[in-house]
Amino acid sequence: MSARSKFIIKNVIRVVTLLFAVSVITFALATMAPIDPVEAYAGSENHLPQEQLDLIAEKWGWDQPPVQRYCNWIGGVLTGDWGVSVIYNRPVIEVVGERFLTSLALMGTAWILSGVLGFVLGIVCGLRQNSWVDRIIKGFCLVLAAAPTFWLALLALMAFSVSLGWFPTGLAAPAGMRAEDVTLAMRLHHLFLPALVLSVTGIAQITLQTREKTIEARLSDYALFARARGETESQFTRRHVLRNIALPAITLQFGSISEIFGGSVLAEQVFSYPGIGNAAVTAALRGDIPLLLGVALVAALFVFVGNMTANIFYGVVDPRIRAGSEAIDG
Amino acid sequence: MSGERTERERATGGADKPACEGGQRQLHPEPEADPILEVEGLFLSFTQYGTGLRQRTLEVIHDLSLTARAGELVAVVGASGSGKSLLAHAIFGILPDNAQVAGSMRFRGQELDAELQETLRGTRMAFVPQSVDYLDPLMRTGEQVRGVRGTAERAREALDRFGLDERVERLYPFELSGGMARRVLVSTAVIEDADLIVADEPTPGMTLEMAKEAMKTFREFADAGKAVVVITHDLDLAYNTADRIVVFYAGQTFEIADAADFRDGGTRLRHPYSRALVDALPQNGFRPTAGTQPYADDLPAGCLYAPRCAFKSEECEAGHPPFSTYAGGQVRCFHPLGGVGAADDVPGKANSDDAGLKVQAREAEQARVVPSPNARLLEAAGVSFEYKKGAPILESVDFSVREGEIVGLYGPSGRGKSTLAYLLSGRQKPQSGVISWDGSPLPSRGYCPVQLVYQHPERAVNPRWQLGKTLTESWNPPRELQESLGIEEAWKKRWPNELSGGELQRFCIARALNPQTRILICDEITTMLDVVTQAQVWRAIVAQAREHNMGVVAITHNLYLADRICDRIVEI
Amino acid sequence: MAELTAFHAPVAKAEKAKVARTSNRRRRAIVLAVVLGAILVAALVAGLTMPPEFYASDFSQKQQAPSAAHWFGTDFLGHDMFCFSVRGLALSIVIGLFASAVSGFVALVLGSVSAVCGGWVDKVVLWLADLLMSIPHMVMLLLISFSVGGGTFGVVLAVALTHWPSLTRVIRAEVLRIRTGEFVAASRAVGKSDLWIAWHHVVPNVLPQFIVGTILLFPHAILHESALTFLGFGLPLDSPAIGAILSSSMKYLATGAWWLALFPGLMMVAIVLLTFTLGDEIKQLTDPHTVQE
Repeated sequence: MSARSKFIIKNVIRVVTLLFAVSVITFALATMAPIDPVEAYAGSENHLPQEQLDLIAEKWGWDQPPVQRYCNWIGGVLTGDWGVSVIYNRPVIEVVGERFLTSLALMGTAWILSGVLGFVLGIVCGLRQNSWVDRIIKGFCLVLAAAPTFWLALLALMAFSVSLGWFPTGLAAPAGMRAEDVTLAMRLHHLFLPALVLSVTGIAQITLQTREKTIEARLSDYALFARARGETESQFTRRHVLRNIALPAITLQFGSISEIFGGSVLAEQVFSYPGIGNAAVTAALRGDIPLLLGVALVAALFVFVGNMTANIFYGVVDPRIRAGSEAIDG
Repeated sequence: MSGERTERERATGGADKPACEGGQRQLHPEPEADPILEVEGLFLSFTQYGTGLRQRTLEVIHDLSLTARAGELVAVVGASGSGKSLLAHAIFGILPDNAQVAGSMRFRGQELDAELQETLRGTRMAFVPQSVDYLDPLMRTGEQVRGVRGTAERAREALDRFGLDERVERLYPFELSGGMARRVLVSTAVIEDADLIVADEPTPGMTLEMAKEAMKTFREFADAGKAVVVITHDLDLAYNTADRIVVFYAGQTFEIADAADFRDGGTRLRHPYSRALVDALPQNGFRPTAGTQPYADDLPAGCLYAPRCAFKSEECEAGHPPFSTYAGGQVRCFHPLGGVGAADDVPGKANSDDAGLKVQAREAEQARVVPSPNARLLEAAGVSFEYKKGAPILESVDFSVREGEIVGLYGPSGRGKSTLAYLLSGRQKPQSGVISWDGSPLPSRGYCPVQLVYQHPERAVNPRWQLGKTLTESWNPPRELQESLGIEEAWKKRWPNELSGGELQRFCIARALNPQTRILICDEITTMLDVVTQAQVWRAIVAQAREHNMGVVAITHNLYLADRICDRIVEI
Repeated sequence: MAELTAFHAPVAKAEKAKVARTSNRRRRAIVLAVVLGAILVAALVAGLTMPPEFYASDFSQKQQAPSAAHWFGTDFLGHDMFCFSVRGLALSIVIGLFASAVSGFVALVLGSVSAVCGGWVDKVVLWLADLLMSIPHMVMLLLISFSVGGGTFGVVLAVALTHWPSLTRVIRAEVLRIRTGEFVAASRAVGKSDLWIAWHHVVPNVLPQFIVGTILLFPHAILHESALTFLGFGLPLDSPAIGAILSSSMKYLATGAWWLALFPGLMMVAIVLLTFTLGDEIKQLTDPHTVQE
C-alpha cells in the first residue's frame, strides 16, 4: 500500500509544480501581448486624459513591474480574487465559474458519448476485423479525424438547423428569455447539436485505439489458450477482451479531455454557445487579460485533473503497475 | 528385405551394422490399447497474399501421421520451425483463419472435425501451453485455472495437487515464479477430465532436474490412462520419459520409433536425421551435420532431408519417400538404416541414460585444460545486484575465469545467470563488489577484452543493417570460421527480420570471436537451436577459443552440454 | 500493426511473403506520396502564382451556386470560391510546411539531447513537454498568438511551438531505446566510438521515426492554423485562407449558401486524410518489427 500512496503523492507534487509553471507561462504570454491593458480597459475611442489613465493603471497595479504584478495576481488567485473582467466588468471568478458550468454540460455529454460510442464501435470493429462493418467504421473514423471540428460544426448547423430547422442556430437557451423561464428541455434542445458534433470528433481516436487493442487481444497467446480450453468467442470477449482493453481505453478517455476542451472552443464559437471556450476567444480578441488568464488557468486545471485521474486510476487498477516495475532476468 | 540396404551402407562407409529383423519388442504394457488420437496424412497450409492480388499457398505440414494411445506418452521432437506447434493447434482447431487442413484426424475413432473439436476442447482434450504468456495478464490465477468449464472447487483441487496454496489463486500471472507458472499451466489440464493432453514445449529454460520433474507429471498422466503428446525440441528429455518418439523435420514426420531406440547412441534408428540428432547430443558424439532445415517456401524437390543426407541417392533427390513400417518402427526414407538389435554391435557408445552425467570418453581435442597460473583473470568478487530494492538477484557472488579455460555456468532460469553475464562483460555495474580484468577495472573505451554473446540475437543486431555489416563490425572473420559456424553466403545480403534467431545468433558469435577477445561470455546462446546446430556452433567456438587461448564462460541449463565442452563447471 | 500478426505461430518461415507484403506496401506508399506531392505542388504553384483577378471580387457574380463557370460557386462578394480556396490552401500549406518543419526540428534536437545527456537536461525537457501538453492545445495556440498580437507570424509561431512535445517524446524514447539496446552495447564493446555509433546505429533507426513524425505534424499544423484563423487570431479575415473563408461563410449560413463551407473544407479534409494515410504507410513500411512479426 505504501507504494500506492507514494505513487499518488508523486503525482500530486508533479501536478502542483506543473500548475505553478502554467500560471507563470500564461501570465508571461498574456502580458507580453502588444495590448495596453489600460487602453483596453478605458476603450481607445474615449480619449481620457493621461492622469485618469494613470489612475486606472494604479488601481489595477498595471504600473508595477511584471514580477510584482505576477505576485499580486497569483496571490489573488490563491485567495479567490482572480481580478475583474474588463469586458464583462464582473469578477473573473464569477464569469469563469458560470461559463465553465455551461461548458461542462456540453463537454461532459460529448466526453461520455464519445467514450462509450467509441469503445463499443472499437470492439465491434476489432471483433469483426476486415468485415464491411469494420471497413466502414474505420473509414468514417479516419475522415472524422481529418476534418476540422469547426467545419463539421458548420456543416451540422447548416444541415440540421438552417435547412431542416430541427435545432436552434446557437446559444444555450432561447435568446431574450429570462434564465428562470428556461426549461431543461430548452437547454437540451440547444445542447444537442454542439454536443453531437463534439462527441463525433472525439469518437475517432478512441474507436481506432480500442479496435487495435481488441485485435491485439484476439491474436494474443492467451486468446489461443482460451480457445484451446473451449471458450467460445463471446465468453472470450467477456472474460478477456473487455478486461484487457478497458484500461487503455479509460486512460485515453481521460487523456482526451484536452482535445475535448480544444474542440469545444471551436464548437462554442460556431454555435455561439456561451461557454468557457467562447469566453477565451472573446477575451483574447478584446484584450481582456484577467479573463484570459482565468480561463487558461481553469482549462489547465481541468486537463490536469483528467490526466492525474488517468494516471492514478491506472496505477491503482493495473496490478502490474501497482506492484512496481518487475526485475527481468533470463 | 534388408540385404540390399546393408550393402549400400557398407559401400558408403556407414558405421552402422546391418539391421537384424528382430521380433517386436514389448515396451509399453498394452501396445494395442485404444488409440485416442490418430492423425493420418495431415497437410497444413496457409494462404497468403503476395504481390498484387496474387494468392499463394504455403504448405508447412506435409503428410504427417501420428497415433497416441491411452496410457501412452508420445513425444514429438523437432527443431524450431519444423511446424511442431502448428500440429497442436491443428488438433485443437485453433489455427488462424488463413490456414487450411487436409487429411484425417480422429479422436477415439471419430472424425475430428470443427464441430467435434468444439465439444472436446476443454473437456476431453486439454492443451498445456509453453509459457506464462498464454495466461491472461490481468486475470488472477484462480479464475484462469477455473476457466469456463471448471468450478472453484475443481480449481482448488487441481492447484492443491501441484502444491499451490490459496495465495497463488490471488496472484496475477506476472507475479508467478517460473516454477509456479509451469505448475499453474499444468493444473489447467487437470481440471478438465481429458483423455488427451497435448503439451507444447513444457520445459524451456529448465535444468535437467526440473525438466525431469515436469516430465514426470506427464508420465503420471499417461500412467493414469490418458494419451499424452509432448511437443519438445529436447531430445534427451524425450527419450528418457516417453514411450514413443515422433521425429519431425520441415513439417514432415521422418520417423516414429520406440523411445528405447534412441538409447545406446541411437543405432537402432531408421532415419539418417534421427541418427544425426542422437549423434549430435553432447552426451553422444556431439557431431554436427552440415546444412540447415529448409524453409516452407523453398523446399527441395525430393526427400526433404536429401540436401543434408550422407546416404542420399538419385532416387532421394527426385521423389518423396513414402512413410512405411520398417524394422519395428515407421520411417520415411528410401534407404532406412538400422532397426532393432543393431546396437549390440556398437562398442564404445556409452549408455547415456539418466544414470550418470559424466559418462562419455572425451575426444582428444576436448581434454580438460588447466590454465597456467600466469593467464590473465576475469574476476567477480563479492558481487551483488538487484533490479528492485529488497529483491537481490545476486548476493555476494564470487566467480572467476582465466584466459584459455572454458567454464560452464550452470543453473535454472531466474538465478541471475544473465545478470552475472551482464556484470562480467561490463554492461552493468554491480551495486557492491568488484569486477576486475587482470587486476584492474574493464576498459570503458576501445576493444573490450570481455565479449558477451547475448541470448536474444534478434536484439543484438541492428535491425536496419544487412547482416554482412554486422558480421564485419568487429573484424573480418575468415571464410573457414564462417563456414564452421554455418553462415551461408546468401545470408549476408539479408535483413535481420528475414532470418531466424538461430541464424542471427551465428552472426553474433562470429562478431565476438575476434582473436582480440580474451574472455567470451556465451549466455544461453544455443537454447533456441536444435541439437545438430548446437553441436556445430559450439565446436566452432571451442576451436577458435583454443586456437587463440581465449577464455569462455558457457552459461547454460544443459548439464550435458556444459560437461561436454567445459573444463570446469560452476553451479549457480 | 496488429493486422499483420495474423501469422502468429512460429510457422516454418514465411520470409518471401513478408517481402511481398512489404513491396506491396512500398508501392502503395509511393503512389500515395506521388498523389499527395502532385496535389501539394499543384495547389502551391496555382495558388501562389495565380493572378489576383482570379480571386478578386466581382459583384456581378455574387452568391452563385456551383456551376461550370464557378466550380465551387461564388461568395457574397463575388469571389470565385474555387480560386479563392486554392489560394487559401496554398497559404495553409506554406504555413503548415514551415510550422511542421520547425516543430520537427525542435523535437529532433530536444529529443536527442534529452536522451543523450540524461540527468537534469532530460528532466527539464520532459517537464517542458509535460507542461505544454497539459494546457489544452487550443488555449495554448490562443495564448501564443495573442502574445504576439495575432497575424501570420502569430499563427506560425503558435503552431510551431505547440506541436513538438509529442514528437520529442517519441524521438527521446527511440534514441534511448537504441542507445541502451544490446546491439549498441555490442558495438561499444568491440571498440566503436560514440560518434560512430551515433552515425551508424542511432541515425538509421531514428531517422524514419523522425520523418514519419514530421510528416504527421503537417496535417495537425494546417488544421490548427485554419482553426486559429477561423477564430480570428490567424491570417487576416479578409485574406483567402480556409479558416477565414469558413469564418465568413458562417455569417451567411442563413442564406443557405452551403457551398461556401462545404468545398473549402473538403479540400482541406482531402489533404489531411492523404497525409495521415501516407504517414501511416511509411510508418508501417519503415518499422522493422511490423514487418518482422
